[in-house]
Amino acid sequence: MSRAGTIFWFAHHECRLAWRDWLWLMSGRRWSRRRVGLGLIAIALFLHGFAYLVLYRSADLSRPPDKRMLVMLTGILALYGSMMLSQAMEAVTRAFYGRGDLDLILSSPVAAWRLFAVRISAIAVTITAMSLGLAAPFINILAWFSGLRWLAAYGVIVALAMVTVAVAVMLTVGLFRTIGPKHTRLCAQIVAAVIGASFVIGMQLAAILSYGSPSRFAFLQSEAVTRYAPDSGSSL
Amino acid sequence: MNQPAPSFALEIRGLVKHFDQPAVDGLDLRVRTGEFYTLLGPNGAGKTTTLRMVTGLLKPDRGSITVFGIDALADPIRVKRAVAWLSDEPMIYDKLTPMEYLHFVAGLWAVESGLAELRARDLIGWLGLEAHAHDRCEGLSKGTRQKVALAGALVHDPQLIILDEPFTGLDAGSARLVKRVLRERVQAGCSVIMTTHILDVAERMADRIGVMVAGRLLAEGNLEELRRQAGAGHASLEDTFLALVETCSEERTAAA
Repeated sequence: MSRAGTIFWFAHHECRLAWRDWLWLMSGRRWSRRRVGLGLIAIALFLHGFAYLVLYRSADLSRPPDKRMLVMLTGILALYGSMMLSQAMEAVTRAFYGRGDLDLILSSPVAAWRLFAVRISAIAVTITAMSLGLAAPFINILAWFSGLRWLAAYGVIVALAMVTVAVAVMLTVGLFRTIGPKHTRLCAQIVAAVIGASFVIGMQLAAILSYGSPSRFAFLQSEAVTRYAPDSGSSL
Repeated sequence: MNQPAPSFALEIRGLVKHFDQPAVDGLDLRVRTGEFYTLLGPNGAGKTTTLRMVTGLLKPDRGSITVFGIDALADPIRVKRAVAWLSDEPMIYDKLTPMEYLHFVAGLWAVESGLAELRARDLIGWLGLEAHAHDRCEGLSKGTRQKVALAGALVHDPQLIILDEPFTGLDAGSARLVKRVLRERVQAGCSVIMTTHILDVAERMADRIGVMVAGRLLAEGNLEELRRQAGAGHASLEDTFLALVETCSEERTAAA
């Protein structure tokens, strides 16, 4: 095992706790591994079916993506990012200020930044895995019907998750310094919810005001938006 | 040549900490090396805030803290190496066994793994935890968890042990065991600072008792000295303590 007090040592400690939590979650509810496996396969198939229906209805999968579709995808990614941010802020608040072991660790001579580095990495991995889990059915369906180039979207999701976690850490630490530890948790949850909701509400409001329709997709696919978007050949 | 041990385990001068209102308000406190010192006070007197500042968990607004001659604000890491802190609601990991927990805590203090194993076994034995040494902590009773947490505080062999309400939730047998372990530590040269609301424990165990009210040290000494300061004759510690607190409250009300 790695030397005590190092980043790897903390990572081993956190992994051990997470692994035992996971096992407890599985075994504590008396689910057999076979049932868990079958359940996961069923969920994956359902999500792929759902993704196919959504994409089949809203785009011609046989043609390369046009400007409208790219604008819509960008909008969906922004929505996705705002949801990730709200999740990440909640996780950062819990990891930084909610864990009861901080008293023990901060009263020890070990450098606390190592623990926080491990916990931030764990949050990044969790958020990335969750985001990939939700996006994978859509990416797979697009790759299947419209070309393997869509697999690059996995990289985009990973990058988006990393950026989101970095922003979440900055926002939460900023809140901590501005309003203090006592109110940070509540405020972070409110900010996360507001950020998550504001994008959706903003788009819906714009759609209602401009087109009299509450559909966010109608707004994203409208002429007014696509006119100002960079061309599909643009490096942007 | 061996340097003589500093005569004070802890020296606090003019310590101030404000939250919404003053929590610690110009506190001066000295604890001698090898002394068992108990800090008493009503809820909100500033006892826990003071101890959290000593352990480096809170930054004071003003004042100085010296532990074994080391400035705790200038060199917190050196101070933390010598100090153990046990809060009133200690956290132990549910998914670890007591042995694993003790190894983890020993790792935080960079105790070499062979030595950590030896100390962990000793502490498990002293605290009567052999039967639970390899059980997950999630299944342990509150008293047993408290003992595991205490073992964690002792595993790096600290010179200064700071305990916040260590007897909360302990049954009579466990409390006696913990008292014995703490007394042995003091006999071995350790210094102990403890807060408690159980005045009987303070009376039996402490070399000196400090009474804190509204962030200040109101009175200090052994029971006899406290009685004199309170003008309480041959009263018990409980009566003496209540007399001191009451007098202080009356003075503060009059001043207000």
